[in-house]
Amino acid sequence: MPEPMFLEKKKILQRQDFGKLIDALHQEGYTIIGPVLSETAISYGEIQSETDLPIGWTDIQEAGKYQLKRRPDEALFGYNVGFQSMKKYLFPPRQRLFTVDKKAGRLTFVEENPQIQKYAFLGVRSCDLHAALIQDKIFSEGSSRDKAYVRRREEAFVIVVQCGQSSSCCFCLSMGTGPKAEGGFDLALTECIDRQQHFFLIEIGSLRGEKLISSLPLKDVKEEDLLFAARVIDNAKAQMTKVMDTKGIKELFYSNWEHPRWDDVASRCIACSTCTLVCPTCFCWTIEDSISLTDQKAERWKRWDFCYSMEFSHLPSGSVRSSIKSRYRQWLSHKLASWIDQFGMSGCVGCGRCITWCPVGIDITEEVAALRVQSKEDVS
Amino acid sequence: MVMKKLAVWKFTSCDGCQLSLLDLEDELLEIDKNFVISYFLEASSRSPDPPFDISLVEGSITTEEAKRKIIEIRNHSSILITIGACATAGGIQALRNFASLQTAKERVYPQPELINVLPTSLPISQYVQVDYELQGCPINKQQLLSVLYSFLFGFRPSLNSGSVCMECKMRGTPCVMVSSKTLCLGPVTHAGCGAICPSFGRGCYGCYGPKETPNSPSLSRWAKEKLSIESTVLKQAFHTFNCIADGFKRFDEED
Amino acid sequence: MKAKECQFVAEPPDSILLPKAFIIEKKVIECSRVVSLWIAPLEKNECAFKPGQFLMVYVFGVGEAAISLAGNGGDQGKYFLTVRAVGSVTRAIEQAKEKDILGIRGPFGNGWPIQEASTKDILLIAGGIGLPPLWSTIPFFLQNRSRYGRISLLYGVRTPQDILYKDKLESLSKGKDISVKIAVELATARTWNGHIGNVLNLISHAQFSPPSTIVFVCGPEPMMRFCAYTLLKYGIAKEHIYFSMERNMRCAIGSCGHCQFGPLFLCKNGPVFSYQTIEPFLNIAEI
Repeated sequence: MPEPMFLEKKKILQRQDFGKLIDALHQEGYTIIGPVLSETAISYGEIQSETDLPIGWTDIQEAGKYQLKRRPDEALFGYNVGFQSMKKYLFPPRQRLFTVDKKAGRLTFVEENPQIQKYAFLGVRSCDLHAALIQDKIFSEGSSRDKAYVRRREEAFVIVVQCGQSSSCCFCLSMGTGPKAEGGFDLALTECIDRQQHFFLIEIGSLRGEKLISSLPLKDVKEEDLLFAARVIDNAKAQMTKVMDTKGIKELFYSNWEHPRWDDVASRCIACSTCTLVCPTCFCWTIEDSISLTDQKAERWKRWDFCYSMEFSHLPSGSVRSSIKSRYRQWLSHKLASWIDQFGMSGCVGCGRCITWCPVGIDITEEVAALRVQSKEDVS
Repeated sequence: MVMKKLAVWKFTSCDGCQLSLLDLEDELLEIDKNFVISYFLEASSRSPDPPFDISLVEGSITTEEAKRKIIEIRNHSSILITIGACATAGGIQALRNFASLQTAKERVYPQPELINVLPTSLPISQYVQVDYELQGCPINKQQLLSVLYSFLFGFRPSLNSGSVCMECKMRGTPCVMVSSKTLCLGPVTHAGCGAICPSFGRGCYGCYGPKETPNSPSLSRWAKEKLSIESTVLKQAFHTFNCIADGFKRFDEED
Repeated sequence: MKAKECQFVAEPPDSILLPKAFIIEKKVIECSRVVSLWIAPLEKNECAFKPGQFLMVYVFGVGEAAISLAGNGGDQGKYFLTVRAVGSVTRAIEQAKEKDILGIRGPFGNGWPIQEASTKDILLIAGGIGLPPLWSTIPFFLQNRSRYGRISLLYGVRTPQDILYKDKLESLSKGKDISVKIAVELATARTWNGHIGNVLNLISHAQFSPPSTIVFVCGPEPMMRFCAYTLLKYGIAKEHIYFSMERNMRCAIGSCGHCQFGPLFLCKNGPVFSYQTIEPFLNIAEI
């Protein structure tokens, strides 16, 4: 749990000692999940040692395009978000809810008590951290509270990496979700690298974060270190060109259900569900009931679901959203508008994944801008 | 539970989908407990013994005789399920629908006059009412099992009807279109195969046929404009196992 | 947006995704494809319910469906449901036999605003299978009859064979506490003795004073929409017209996202909504 008084505590870790951080996490029994390099992109996987990180790599992202590129230096975190996020581990794609036994005409329901793994997430960006906080609102409060999610979240050790660069698809500044995370983490690292030096400014965000690094060879912070770190964040801000105008955005959507832009995007959208799959806040799921004849046993599973499927919303008479237009409209209006009424905040963290990974390069910031043109109401 | 009579039929096809049934191995023994396999040429020499509760039909209709036979099968079956791209979409042999049958015959056979076939290869649903279609080339055997048991218990099967993109992302494969500029039919293809090909860096071939509301024109436009895919390559990609299915047959025009 | 901390409650509540076993005590066939079931819990069930709420009914190995509560099954903790077979699960429920076990979750939803109906005239307008959710209000009104003004139940069906709860309706109309009127769309004078036509035509025959009338409507969405237009013409206020909305439900706890109607979760914020709340979204195709 983040303790406010620790936010002031900062320390310096030299690059050559970074491996000791990994060791310390392993010693505490954590499985470390962080960015790893696959052949064509940076994804999320297990980190056994620092060499598993995409050292010296960066990425170029555009709508519908992702390219890996070598950096001139050996930065450990010199890239932007990949197509996966913590969501994969905190809200797993498939979970069993219960099993039912049918014996002598009686049904016995046995709830699943899932094994909660101890994960340490290394290299979480501010946008993704905010995404987890958004999912917390859904899965740890009220009637939709999910016990297993709450336990996973409590166990998760979060090490943020403050962004030092941004892609042309990032727009966390517009959404107020970055590039610097101000709290909600156990530790936050700012990687400071130039020709002469390579070190990490560590911000301590919790008691257990402080405890974890207590055995590491840390140095005290000097004024120049703080300035360096501030320049790193400024660089991320300066590189961010994409903007989402969020002024009156809820009213914008609520008064433009039949805006001609929806037809336009419908001609482009291929309803493949990729945006919902890469989005770190999408939370829709469904129930699958299966039966096994041999054991007279049935199971109920929970799995991710996507509002782009035909039968996502239906009545006995058939699908309610049979056109691609209605499904795209549902996804975007939920994400940017209805979400605010439902949970008190936007559903978008400006990570830009939906723009990069859309196979036909649809850009939600452009769609919003287009809605403002010829809008039914002046919502500025 | 009353044993259901199951029959398995083959028309113009490679046999691969029927083989999926045999491929079930352990589960096949379970099927045996609930179904009487009344006719299944690939597995037994038993003669057909109508009527049938469930008929699984593989293959497309390409001859007059097949036309007559499928109608007979339909009349003798309570439930008719088509399995595989040939039965649900005409198969790769439907490529001949785009060309002259005579030319095709002459190119392939030394004595073309002996070949007596219809000019088209069409799916079973063009000739008789079909109760359920299982897409795929070949079909997913687990899906087949799920469908059989659904009908055994008397309820409609509910298979995931999403795109291959879902399976790709669930697997953790980076999109080959976005990160390798490779043409991939995944976004418009029905899920079912587990997104095998993209995990090897290849674009999806569309074996499972178009998903519901496929937007192939948009995909084609992007492929041509941004990935520099040539029209002939695009055509070759869409015109394979499900070449005459809606969404794949005309992939370049607006509906 | 400053990152907020995640607050966790010390004691998580009982799992509301786990069904409880209920036995079918009695089954009655109402008409073609429609059955009524009286179900009782195998273990003590404290759950009282509010009229207008619904249950998630699970059939072993087949799945779950959202079914409106039509009443209590005679005792606290028991339920009375009416189900129409339209899909796999409801068909399996329809085919279930007495002594079969069902899995029940719930009750869920907000229910009809019975409190608001105090001192007012009440119109209960039901279309087809929309009768059961409205039927659940009857015992509540009868229990405290003097609290309410004139109460009319207006019920519309397609054919005389589709009429549900024939006996119950007959004894209710004999009782004089609630005026019962039934309209049949497809009938002749020979096949049906009463009103022939649409249920909306019955409104003009009901006794109510528009400024102090509250209306509960349940039926197919197009019927409910036309009903609202008609009621507005009579001068009944938007905030006094209530619909019970329907969409496919999965979790019933406002978590899975399926039943969304604009920003509203039908399971959590509904299924009952005032016309005032729902109007902005009702006329948007495919919302």
